[in-house]
Amino acid sequence: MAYEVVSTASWNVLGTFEDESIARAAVVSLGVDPHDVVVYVSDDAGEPVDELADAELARWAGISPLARFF
Amino acid sequence: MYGSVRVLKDSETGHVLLQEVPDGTVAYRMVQNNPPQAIDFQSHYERGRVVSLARPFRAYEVLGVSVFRDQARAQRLVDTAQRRAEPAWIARLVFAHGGTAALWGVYKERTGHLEVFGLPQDLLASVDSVL
Repeated sequence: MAYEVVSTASWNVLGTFEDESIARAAVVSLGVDPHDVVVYVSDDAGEPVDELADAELARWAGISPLARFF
Repeated sequence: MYGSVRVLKDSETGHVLLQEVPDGTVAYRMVQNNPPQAIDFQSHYERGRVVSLARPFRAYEVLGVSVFRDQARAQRLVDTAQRRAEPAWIARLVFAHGGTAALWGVYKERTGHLEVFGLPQDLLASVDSVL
């Protein structure tokens, strides 16, 4: 799977990650508000399969500050 | 895509760091103005978004501008923006820098994402049409 993080402030890709937890930690460590991103999920072949729901991203916003040291 | 163009590699790992974008490369970007304006081609950093320097090796991702080789990938962003009641179009770009300084970028074949590094007005000048 691939998690492509796109900023909805600039509509630029901030990174693509192989795991949701890594994507989440990267967003937090960049200091980007998870409310300001959209995350597209692709399968191993690169085909789009999903988009993370706003509720899931809201959960990202509550991640432990320890993730900043990831 | 990058068969005969210049690349910059990490001297220790051999990983490609930057790739020259070939003349004539076609790409697509979501824009929020029609006709597109320079602001549509600003990086995350140029938009005034503060980012942490805790991961400086990812700095290129906030300094570059995202375009896609596949129109469907850009359309996905348009769909998201329109769902949020934001204006959105797709700009088709043709990078034809000819005798001028080369355009450099980072291309990820798996997602079709091309991160390009250029001045907003130069990228704007590459717009071929709005779809």
